[in-house]
Amino acid sequence: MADISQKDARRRGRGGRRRLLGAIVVGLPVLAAARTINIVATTPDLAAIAREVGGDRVSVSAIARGDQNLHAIEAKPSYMMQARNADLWIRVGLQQEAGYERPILQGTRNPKILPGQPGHLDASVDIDPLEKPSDFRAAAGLTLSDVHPLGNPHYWLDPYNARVIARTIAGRLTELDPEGRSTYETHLADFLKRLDERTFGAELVEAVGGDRLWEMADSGLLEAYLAEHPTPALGGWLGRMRALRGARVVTYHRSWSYFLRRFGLETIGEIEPKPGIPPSPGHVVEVIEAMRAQRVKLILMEPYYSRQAPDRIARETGAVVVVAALSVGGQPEAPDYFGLIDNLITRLAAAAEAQGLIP
Amino acid sequence: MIRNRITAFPKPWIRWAALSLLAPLNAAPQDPMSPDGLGDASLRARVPDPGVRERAVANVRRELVPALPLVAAAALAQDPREEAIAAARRSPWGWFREEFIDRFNLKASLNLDFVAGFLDAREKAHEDAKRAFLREAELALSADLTPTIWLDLFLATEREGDEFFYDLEEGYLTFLALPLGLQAKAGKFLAAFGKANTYHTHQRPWVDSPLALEVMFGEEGLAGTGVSVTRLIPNPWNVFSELTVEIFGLDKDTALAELPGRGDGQVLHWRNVFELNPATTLDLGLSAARLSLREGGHGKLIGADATLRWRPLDQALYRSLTWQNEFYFLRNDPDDVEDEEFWGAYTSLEYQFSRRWYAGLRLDAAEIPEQIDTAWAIVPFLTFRQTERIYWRLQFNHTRHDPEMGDRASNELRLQMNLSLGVHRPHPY
Repeated sequence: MADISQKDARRRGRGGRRRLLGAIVVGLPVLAAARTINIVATTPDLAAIAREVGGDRVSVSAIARGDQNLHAIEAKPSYMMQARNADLWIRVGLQQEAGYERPILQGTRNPKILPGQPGHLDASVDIDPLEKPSDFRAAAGLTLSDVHPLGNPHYWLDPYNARVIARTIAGRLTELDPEGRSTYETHLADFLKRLDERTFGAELVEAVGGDRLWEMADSGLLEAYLAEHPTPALGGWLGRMRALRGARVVTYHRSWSYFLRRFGLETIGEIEPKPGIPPSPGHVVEVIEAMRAQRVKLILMEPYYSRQAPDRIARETGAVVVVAALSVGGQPEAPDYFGLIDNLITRLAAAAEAQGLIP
Repeated sequence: MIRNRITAFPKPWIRWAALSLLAPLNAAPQDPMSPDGLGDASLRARVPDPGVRERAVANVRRELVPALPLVAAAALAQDPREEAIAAARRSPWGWFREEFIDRFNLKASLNLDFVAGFLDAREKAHEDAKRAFLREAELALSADLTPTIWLDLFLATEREGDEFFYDLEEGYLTFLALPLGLQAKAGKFLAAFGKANTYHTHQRPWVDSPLALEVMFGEEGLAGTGVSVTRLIPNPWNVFSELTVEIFGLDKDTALAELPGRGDGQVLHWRNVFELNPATTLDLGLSAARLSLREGGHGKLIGADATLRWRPLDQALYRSLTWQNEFYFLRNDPDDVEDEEFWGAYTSLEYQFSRRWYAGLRLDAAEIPEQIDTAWAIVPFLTFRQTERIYWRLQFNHTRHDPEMGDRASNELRLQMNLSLGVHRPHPY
């Protein structure tokens, strides 16, 4: 009947509470397992690689956007709020974030990610930088120009460095989350394999092995080896860029050095007279003359620089301006790391073909 | 496999050892990659055990011979990173850098500020011109004592007559991770009242401070030695909302509308920054302060600040706009004398129209003690940021009822050059 005795009601309440408690106890491990490592990277490239390595054990966001000039980032409070609950902060290093990192880290009130803590990772620790300044004054920041005192920070454009970054991130993730070790190792191995295959071609990687191919490429012995062993042929990115080896380009800012070195292109200079200084009329004339003298037909630049000087130079020299994203997300064709390099190579190859540099 | 083991060794000396062991094998002048480069006879002679001889010889020929150039190249090429580390360790600069700069993250920078006055209708301009152009030199030192305790020191020059003295402009420890989500600063610092009061000379978008600020707090601004505690206020919209509470002993030069301060001061500041879109932020703040006067009694201040910043993402290098406004209201309540009330305000609009050029206009207004008319000024300015380290600024001040000119009008034209050396911490947003 409708009337339940008080005792019965209490018993029912107890049963209900017990069921609820039981559900919570069972649910807790599920909740704990569902918590992902919150990673905040300063650039979308580091974020993309962290996503590859971490899989679904991590949730990743980036401070900068792919279509933003990395030199124009300010320490906005919204970035502080973004990193408030981060477990891992990854930065490019080499003084790239000097203009904004410390105020952001201070503002987050998140002690886990402060420099010196395990939650703070400088992705450049195992990178060998290019263009290190050769004298003490530049290294100490005592010169007046915008030269990066620790070397060129745009190192993610060399696929070999992407491997190094991935290893560094996987190592730190394993330290922070030992339970995920096998996941990170699997994802890392998979990413490295895919990267090797995209760089050299799947068949060559299977025949020779990715590590050995990188060693040969770095020692300059790859061409000799390929001459001795013509099959399987070199595929992938290196294969596509093979015809462009030795081609000369002019860049807007000195941001492409690692890519150019890996794929055998040469730069004869930049449209900026010095890093960070906009092109002056006198310097533009010098660039035009140099390009004519050395028959340079390609100008490479990022989408966020002014087209005024490059377009003028292209008109005067018959060169073509290649606008390519420097970072993941900088153009729609570059949604992840592989897309970034693909996009760059596709645009360069198309321009080179149009200029008759490739048969 | 032997090949894998040798090439996997990271240490150059092991590679060299392996190479020298293999050297006799490699003594033949033929191309080692050719299958006949190594005489089978000499190989067989090295493997005494007949059971494994043929297999060993076959292994060497198949695996090791093609790898010899790799080993040689690797040994000769030396891991560049190791070389760099070794070189850094050897040099005194490298040792210093590792011990003091990298470990403590010690950064030092020097900022030199030069100002030349041209239209010297104002006495101040005379002073600036007399300063042989160097208005201020600031030495900034910052170090991480621990990951959660930072040290910042700012030594700035002060001029008395013809001599320069170094004064501690700010010097404090920042504790980044206190309980209850608090952060604290302890030491000497510029009070967090409004926005312009916290600017160091080279951070200002103008050659001088706004008139209202100078009248309210004096030339040195409101500063003191004590503690400043901040906390973020959680809110469902995840807006940056920061509350600051400060308690400090006033600097000896503090003067509230020319009434000298002495003793304690307390400041409360509430700052909210709204991101309207990725290119635009609105920064709104309210401040309140209570400062002891030397003659007894207190000065009570309230202030409001509003700053709009616009910077389009795809043109961030080339276009930006900052519109900064502040209003102050001061009520001086000394013990034996009548109360006095003053207000002051400024609005400043700065527009970046090219990669390195900024043009702006500031309007100042302030009530002046002992003066009937409110002083006001129109201040157009033009800034050229030549590099990240040098900027030039041309500024014209037209002031009416100028207190420095006995309530008359004045005109000033000044050229500023500011130079930074070393690694300076970035300015707050």
